[in-house]
Amino acid sequence: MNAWLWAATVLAVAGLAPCLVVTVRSGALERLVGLELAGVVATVVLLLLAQGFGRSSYVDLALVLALLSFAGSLVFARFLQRWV
Amino acid sequence: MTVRHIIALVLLVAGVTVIVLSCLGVLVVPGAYQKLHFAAPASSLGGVLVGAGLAVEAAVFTSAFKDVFTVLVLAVTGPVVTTATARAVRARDQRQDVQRRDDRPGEDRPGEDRPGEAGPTEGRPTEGRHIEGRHIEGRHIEGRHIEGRHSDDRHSDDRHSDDRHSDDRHSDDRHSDDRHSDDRHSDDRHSDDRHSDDRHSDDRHSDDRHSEPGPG
Repeated sequence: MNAWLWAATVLAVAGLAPCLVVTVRSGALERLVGLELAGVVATVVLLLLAQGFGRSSYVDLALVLALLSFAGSLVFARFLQRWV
Repeated sequence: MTVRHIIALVLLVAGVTVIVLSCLGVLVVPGAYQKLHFAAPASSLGGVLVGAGLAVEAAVFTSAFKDVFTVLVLAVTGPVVTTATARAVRARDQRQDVQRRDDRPGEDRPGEDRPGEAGPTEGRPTEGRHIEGRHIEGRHIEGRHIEGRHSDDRHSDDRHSDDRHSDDRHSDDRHSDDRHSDDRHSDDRHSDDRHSDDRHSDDRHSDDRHSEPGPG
């Protein structure tokens, strides 16, 4: 296990867990903030896993997640701006 | 190689630290604005630091191209998402303020001294007064169609207008034009005019009388 995989593990545990807690508490927009941050953290975790496993093709997953998380967050934000 | 690896590890640790701290900050801090404030550095600073570590670790730039591109996508889209979410929070807060204000005036509407809504609420009664002043003429002009519509606004005014309407109805035979605002007054004015005409004729007579000795 190299440094990249350790970093990915630390991020997945200490980074995604608070986002998960934020996502299940408080109001809708506070949860949306937690979801956006979780998308960023998951993207970075996938990048680090691809580097740690030495499979550069895994980076595509992180790229797709970054783009789709952006689109999803934007749709959520627009939706909540109108109807919440 | 080792120096580059160390630099890459330093960048990686810095990026991971920033992301973890921002996650903990989002967890701790209350309120949507503060959460957004703590969530912004994760994409724009932590992601960029991790991507820089990956790019430094890769020997050739082309092998880390996708990593750098992904991190750039995160860094570009992060502020956009933050701005959109902040706008949504602002819209929600404004809606809640409007709801609170709508709940409050129902109780103290007779007071009518709210500084926040000074413009519209002060503008409305003056408009109403103007409209009312116009209505007093308008009721006479347009006849009995408006009378039923305005009967629930001010009862005293309607009573007055009814009285005047009865006068109108009596005098409608004579006055078919729209100048009958107050018929009695107008009658008085007519009689005054007639008197003044008489006086003028008297004057004219006196003038005649005065002018008679002139040539004579």
